Amino acid sequence: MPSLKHALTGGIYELQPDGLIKVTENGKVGLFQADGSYESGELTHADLHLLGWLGGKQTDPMANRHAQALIKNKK
Amino acid sequence: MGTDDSLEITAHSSGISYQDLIASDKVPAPDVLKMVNPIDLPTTRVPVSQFTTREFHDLEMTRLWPKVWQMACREEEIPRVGDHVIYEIGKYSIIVIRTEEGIKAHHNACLHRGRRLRDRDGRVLQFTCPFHGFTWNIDGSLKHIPSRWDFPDIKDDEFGLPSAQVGTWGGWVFINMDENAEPLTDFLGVLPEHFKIWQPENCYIQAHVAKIMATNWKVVQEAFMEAYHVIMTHPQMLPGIGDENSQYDVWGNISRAVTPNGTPSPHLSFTPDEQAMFDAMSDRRMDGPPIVEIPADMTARATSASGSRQTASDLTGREVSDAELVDSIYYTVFPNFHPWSPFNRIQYRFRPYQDDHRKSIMEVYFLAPFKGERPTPAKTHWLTEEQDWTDAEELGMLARVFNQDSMNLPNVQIGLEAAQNKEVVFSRYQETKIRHFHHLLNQYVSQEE
Ligand code: FES
Ligand SMILES: [Fe+2]
Repeated sequence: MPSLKHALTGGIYELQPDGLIKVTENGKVGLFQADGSYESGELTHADLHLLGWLGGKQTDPMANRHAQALIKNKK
Repeated sequence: MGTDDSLEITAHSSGISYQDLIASDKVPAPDVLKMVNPIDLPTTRVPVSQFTTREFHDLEMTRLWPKVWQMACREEEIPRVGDHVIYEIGKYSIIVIRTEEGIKAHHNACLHRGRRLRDRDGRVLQFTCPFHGFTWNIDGSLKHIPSRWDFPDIKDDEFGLPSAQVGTWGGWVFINMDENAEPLTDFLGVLPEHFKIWQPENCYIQAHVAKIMATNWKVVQEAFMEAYHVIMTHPQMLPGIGDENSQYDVWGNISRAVTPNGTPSPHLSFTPDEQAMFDAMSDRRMDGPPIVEIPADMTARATSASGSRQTASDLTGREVSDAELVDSIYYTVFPNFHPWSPFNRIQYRFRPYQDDHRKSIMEVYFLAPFKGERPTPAKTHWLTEEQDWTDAEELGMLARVFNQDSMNLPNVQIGLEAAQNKEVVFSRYQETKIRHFHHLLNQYVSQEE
């Protein structure tokens, strides 16, 4: 499942099949919704914006300025 | 504690300066990006009431909008004689129309009993009021009054539609309701010179999305005038963006920011390698493969630039620099228009929604270069307050970035309304553009009519 590491906290954000996001930070784990709401677990707060980024609505991954490099470099 | 006046305006982030960064680019940046013009303005604190009260909104409606040059539309939106758009700002409504004698702007209200003459964009060869039929030519002169005998005191030559000044630059149409305003070229100052290599007049509207926001227009606008918020609002970008080492400049009514990509945020406690930088720029997931593997002799900057250079260079006939292809180059024309360099494509406009100081319209244009025949400009895609930006697929990944910004915006308005502090405070350098905006806004609103 899609996952990201938070560049400032080192927390690992993992999207779950049910749409919740599992966050592991400093040895604690918590489950959150994409809008930042806490669901369960020892970790009760996570980054609203990274939760939204990973768990919110997605767009075409290639519709991004820097992804253009793919077209050139994969030739 | 007061402000420390001994602080040099050159006080800046510990990260590499933008000028040092572009100095080692493979394809060098154009001269315009080598210019540096910081400014130290007194406006660091602004009353909360300027974002929350009807009184301040009314001041803007009497002292700012009827006096200032403002972007109304693109020339390409009104290519034929009779084509017009209705530009609305607060309570004002202006018809911007192409005539045989060029583009003209008329106040959109019938001189009989006041009906809005046009309630939609379109093409007409005269304005006939749908209420009783008073009719004007598109140049604003009176054409016809039904039962003319019944209006003996109206003189034809004194009954033209009140007009606004019109000016154009870069394919954009500006209006100014003040007959005595300085010419647009004086108002724009350095802007045309700065954009000379980018030729916005030779670009077209590839996308145009407008969204109603439940937030004062200045609150929304100010979220797009600095990279200071990236640390908190767009954390996924941090390994690949020089947020804190952005450059901010001011010239007259124009301000500019340049935020480099392909360089790590100075806020990080580790140094990402070129691959990690590129991964952040291209939104790679931990569980997925990289979009591109960066070769050992390449940088993230050069890789991103090389990906789009061929197309950009074909379109422009010059070798487009790394900086133009990779960095965010965002200008602001006071009060509410934000042209970016064309390889970013983004252009923004922010304004109050109708006459409501707690609602606004945020517009995003993608303005793109083209070759050959001018493509048809995209129609405005309206999003409601409830929709989110991903409902505009044409925005690509940017829609998700805007969704992050939008998680803050209504909460800023709610917080401002609840605030017990009387002022908000702006940083000295990274919020230069916002300080400059308020500095100019104060000049307008303190001017008696
Ligand atoms: S930190 Fe900027 S609004 Fe709170
Ligand atoms: Fe943002």
